[in-house]
Amino acid sequence: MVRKFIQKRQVDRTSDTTQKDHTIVSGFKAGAQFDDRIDTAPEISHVESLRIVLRGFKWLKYVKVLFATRWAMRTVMIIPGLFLGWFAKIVIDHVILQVPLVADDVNFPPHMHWLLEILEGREPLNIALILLTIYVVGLVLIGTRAGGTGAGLYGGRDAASNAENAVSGNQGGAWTGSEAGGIWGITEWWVSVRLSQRFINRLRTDLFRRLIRAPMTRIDDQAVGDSLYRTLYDTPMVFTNITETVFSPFFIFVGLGLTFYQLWWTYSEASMLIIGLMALMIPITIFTTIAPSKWIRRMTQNQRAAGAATTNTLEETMNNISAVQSLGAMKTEKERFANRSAHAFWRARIAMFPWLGVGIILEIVGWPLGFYLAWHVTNMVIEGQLTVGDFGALFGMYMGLRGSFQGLGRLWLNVQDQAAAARRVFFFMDLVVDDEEHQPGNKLGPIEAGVQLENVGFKYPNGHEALKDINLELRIGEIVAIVGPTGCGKTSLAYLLPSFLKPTSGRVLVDDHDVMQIDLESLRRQTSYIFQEHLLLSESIRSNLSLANPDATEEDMVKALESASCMEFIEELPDGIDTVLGRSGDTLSVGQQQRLSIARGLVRNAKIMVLDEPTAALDPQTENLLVRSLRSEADDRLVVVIAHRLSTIRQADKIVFLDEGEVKEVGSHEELMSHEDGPYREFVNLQSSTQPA
Amino acid sequence: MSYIFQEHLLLAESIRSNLSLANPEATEKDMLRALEAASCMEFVQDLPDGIDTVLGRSGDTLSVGQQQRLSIARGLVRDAKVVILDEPTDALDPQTEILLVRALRSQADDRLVVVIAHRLSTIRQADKIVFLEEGKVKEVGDHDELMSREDGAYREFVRLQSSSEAT
Ligand SMILES: Nc1ncnc2c1ncn2[C@@H]1O[C@H](COP(=O)(O)OP(=O)(O)O)[C@@H](O)[C@H]1O
Ligand SMILES: [Mg+2]
Repeated sequence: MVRKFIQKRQVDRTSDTTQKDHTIVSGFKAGAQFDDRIDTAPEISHVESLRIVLRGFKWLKYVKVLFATRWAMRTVMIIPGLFLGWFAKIVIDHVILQVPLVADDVNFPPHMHWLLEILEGREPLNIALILLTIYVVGLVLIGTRAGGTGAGLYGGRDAASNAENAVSGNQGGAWTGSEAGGIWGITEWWVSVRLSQRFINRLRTDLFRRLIRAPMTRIDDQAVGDSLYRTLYDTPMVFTNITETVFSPFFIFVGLGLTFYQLWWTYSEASMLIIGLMALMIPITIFTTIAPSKWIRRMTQNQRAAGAATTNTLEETMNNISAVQSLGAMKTEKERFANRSAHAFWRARIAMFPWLGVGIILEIVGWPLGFYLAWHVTNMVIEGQLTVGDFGALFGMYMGLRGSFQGLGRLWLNVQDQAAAARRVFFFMDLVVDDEEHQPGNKLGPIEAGVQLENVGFKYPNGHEALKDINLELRIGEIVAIVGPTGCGKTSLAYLLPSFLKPTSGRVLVDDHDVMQIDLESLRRQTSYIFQEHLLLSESIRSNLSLANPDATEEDMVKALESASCMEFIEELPDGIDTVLGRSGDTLSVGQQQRLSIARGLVRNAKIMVLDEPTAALDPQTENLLVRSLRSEADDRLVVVIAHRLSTIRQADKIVFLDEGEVKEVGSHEELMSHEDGPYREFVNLQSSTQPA
Repeated sequence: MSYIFQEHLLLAESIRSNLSLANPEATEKDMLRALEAASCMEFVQDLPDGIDTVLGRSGDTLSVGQQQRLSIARGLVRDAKVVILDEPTDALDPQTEILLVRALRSQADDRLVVVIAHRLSTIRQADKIVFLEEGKVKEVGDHDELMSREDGAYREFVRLQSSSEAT
């Protein structure tokens, strides 16, 4: 039995990771790294966690009015708390027990005096009627105060529920949609939903904006599932953070202050006791929450990392579904998913432990104190110092105070929880985005001369040196072919032109301006890169094209589609150019997708055009035609084509022969062919021998 | 049965787990053999952790041609009786293509290898060529047979292809 339990535990704990040099360790203190290849150092100190929390406040500037409204509405809701207990006391003492009400003899705080004067000397039934009227009006306006108003969601502890709750202005504890019911409650809840949604929408859009502008080589390693998790589940926690650090404490303290005021005024003796008991609870809550906060933070981080890993598995498998099915890997993938999903749930349970612990401690301490108070107050009632109604009022206040102190204790726990999530958001906000590496604002005029590479070297982040000491001059008006074996660095070289990759040594100059010193957007607008892999969006063909060039006319589109020989298949489609494509273009054949993405590159009509191995998509004639049509328009353009076919290569003004990241030869076909033993000549000979004449 | 797609589909895991996904029983030796046959060894050797190198999202940390070769290796490691390759040589330079086709040839003794291809150099190696047009089989036979048919559809295709490829 025990053995089985332990084995089960181990199954729960193991989960595969694709994280190099990191393992997933079990336990409370351990860290978990799954697929995070970019965000690999999630450690944060206490101070940082506070800093992260404060940072979220910046987004309040977008919701100022809503925030103020919400604050004001919540403040008004303090009022009922000032009366309800005293209503109860009046009902018990003067309606049920029928003690005559004499304003000067009874023990009430000052704010009740106006009401006492109205009620003084009246019949018990009369008093009951007046109170009932006030109560009914209150009921319509603000409800029973028993539950408050919210979206009716349940407060699960998993990331999705938390996120959902946060967006619906419904976060449990001191901060539900509204503390009130009735008309007030519904209005306040609506304000609160608008507030949280606007805040979160703004924040997650900002995160998305940063994510999609991250440098390609960095973001290559970022799993889609993780980005999704951060955008959808982590951002709402930043908002919860604010409510938990500003709203909750503020109203807890206001509540405490008011209770003390009422206590002090009416039961100065008993209040000393209650205050003493509360003072005892403070060190206990502080101890129970501050000491383990580092672990708590870590557990939440792990929970979130594990959740994101589950999303990743889902995303990856579905994205590669044909590979998975064809390789018969369904069972393996199912198990991988099951493992990760179980692991994420296990992490979620672990992350609940601190809450359970704190809850248990607070209960254990809270109840004996309550019993002690009850015993003490009962004695005072028996001795005649207090009335029976006082017992009710006092005890009610004690429960209220206890709730507030527990709330304060949990506050720090909440902050840890949310800091872990907020860190995940801010990490990607802080990632340097592409344009910031350049000189925003320093716009590049229309390119006139061309591109020059000076001693350019490029190393990938993993240390692979893909390009070595490249010196090249590419002029507007030229067709340049980049030739060389697979993996020699052709794509890497071409990526330098639109600055998808930044040289790690040397300089890339456009019209004599270092690309790092100019506005990236102004460079990219003048370049068009046709990727080796087609990347189409699941929209209509027309919108795929106008994404590339919003100004393109119907005529431009048709021309581009013709040049890439797309018209023949588009004419057959039910809605022609308005046909909507499947996921990443899947409803077309692979070859058609490739041709369409070539057309998309053409419609951009840019100064610098790069075609990365269009060969795969096009048969020789079409490729020839395409290059010819580019040729005839090439006077004010630089066309760079990466190709294997001789028929295409021969049309180039300049051939760049690359091998192992180095430029071996540069020149026209005839020039290079005249080099005896030249690598290009060798390449051509090899090619001709395999292609029958 | 093993189907090698026109598009390479790699998982963001180590090369080893990409291969063992296709065949959980494959030994280290089987994997190396498959990598060799698809000419992957030359670049796998250069990678920091060799066969245990973890790839980027859908293989992005390799060049496209390398991704394609790796997915060919993955198809080969399955050791299936039927291997189908859907335009596998598209992203390969001519030299790699020759190597791959030779490797396939040498593996074909106890297998059925089906290749969907455009390149003559690949097509010529086949024992049987199935020529399709508009969803219908036009001709079946080996290269020499089909070339001997005057006015044959395949012969026409070869003529067109060679004329534009001629150096
Ligand atoms: N994101 C990356 N991280 C690390 N290495 C990479 C990355 N992309 C490509 N490489 C490596 O750089 C070399 C050149 O790749 P690439 O320029 O894509 O070659 P190709 O000439 O086939 O276009 C290859 O060896 C490849 O493995
Ligand atoms: Mg490439």
